[in-house]
Parts: sequence; C-alpha cells; structure tokens
Amino acid sequence: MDDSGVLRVVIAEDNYLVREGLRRLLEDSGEIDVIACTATLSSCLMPCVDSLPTPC
Amino acid sequence: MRRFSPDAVLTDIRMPPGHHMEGIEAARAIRAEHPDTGVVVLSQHADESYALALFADGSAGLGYLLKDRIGDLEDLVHALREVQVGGSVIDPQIVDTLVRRRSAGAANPLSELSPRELDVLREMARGRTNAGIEQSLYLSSSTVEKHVNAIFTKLRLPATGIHRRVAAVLAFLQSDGNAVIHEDGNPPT
Repeated sequence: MDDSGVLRVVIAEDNYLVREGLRRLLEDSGEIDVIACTATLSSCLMPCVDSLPTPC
Repeated sequence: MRRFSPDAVLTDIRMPPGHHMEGIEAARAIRAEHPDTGVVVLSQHADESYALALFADGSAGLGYLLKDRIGDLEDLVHALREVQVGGSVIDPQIVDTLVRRRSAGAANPLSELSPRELDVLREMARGRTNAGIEQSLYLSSSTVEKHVNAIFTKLRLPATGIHRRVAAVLAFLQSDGNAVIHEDGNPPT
C-alpha cells in the first residue's frame, strides 16, 4: 500500500468484459490502483513462475 | 508477483486451463509464498464447499465473495482491504448457508449418532432384533448391546415410561435417517 492508502491490486479473470469491468470499477473508487490484469493464472500468479502479468 | 508485489489479488475461482477451482489453488499458493498479499476469490457458486476448500488451511488473508457482490463497490473494496491486513472475508450468503446447515444438523438428534450406531438403528427400523442385527452387521452380542444403549442415551430416551426401541425407530423414521450425513461429509457406512 502506498502512503496515500491506495491498495495495489492484481486482477485475474479470464472473461475480458468482467476483467475490464472490475478494473474500471475498482479504479473509479479512488481507493484501488489496479497494477496488473491477467486472463490466466499459470503464467503469472503462481509464485513458482517468474513470468509476470501485463500491466493494465 | 515478485516485481509487482501487489497488496491484494482479485481472482475468479474458475480460470484456465481447467475452469474448475484454479483460483482457490492459486490463492493458497500465493498466500504460502507471499504472506503479505491478500487474495479475494470471486465465485458464481453459492456452494459453501468451495469456500471451505479455500479456507481449509487457514483463513488469514483470504476472502470468498460471490460475483453478485461485485455490484457493491464498497463491499468489494472492503474485502480487498481486509485480506490485505490478514483478515478474512466470506460472502454473507455462504455464511447463511453454513448456519442453516449447522442448525438443521443440531435439530436432528440423529446427527449425534456415530455411523455404526446409525447402522444399528437402521437395522432396528427394519424390525431386526439384537440377534438379527448381530448377524446382519457381523457384530458381537455385547457390541450390539453397547450401540443400542448409546443410541438410547444420545436420543435422550428415558429408561422408564416408554418403549425405547420403538421411540428410537420413530425418531429415525421422522428424521429421514437414511439421508443423515455426518459432519465428516461421509454417508453412514
């Protein structure tokens, strides 16, 4: 969390519309910074894998 | 994950490739490797078993919300903040389901019986005597007697004033004893 109290969040959702909807919804709150979005888990979220999600 | 070091991850429960429970597996893996990162799993399923699977190894830093909740931005932001500080969040609808199931179990006196005691009671409901139960379940006389007494005790049947065997069978039939599932999730054997 940064000094302003804004949460840094990654969204993992394979449905594009839902993913984008979530991103916009959270960012519009002013309390969340969506730092990355991903459509898969295996390529980015599993800690044993070093590849990273695409920044929004 | 390492480079981004997010405060929280918001993930669908069903993700490629299997579209089953990958979100839950990822949540547990992320928490194991990155204990400072909270994870909220979104699900379309009001089935509490998914939530229980998520919280099986502990609930700290984990949340389970139904997708219906997405529309309430305040709830969603609250959930992300809660898991980020190590708290846990569970959708109220799941809590209601768990409470209803627990209450139903508590109201059913048969839920206190062990699987073997239920077997014995089922045989009693079929009209078998203790000797008949010994043969059908391959139990000794003393074992059957012990189970029968345990059944009477657990069903709180007084020793006098009623025919306890009949009262126990009535309780079994009224409770739909064949449908009793124990807390370990297994049907009676």
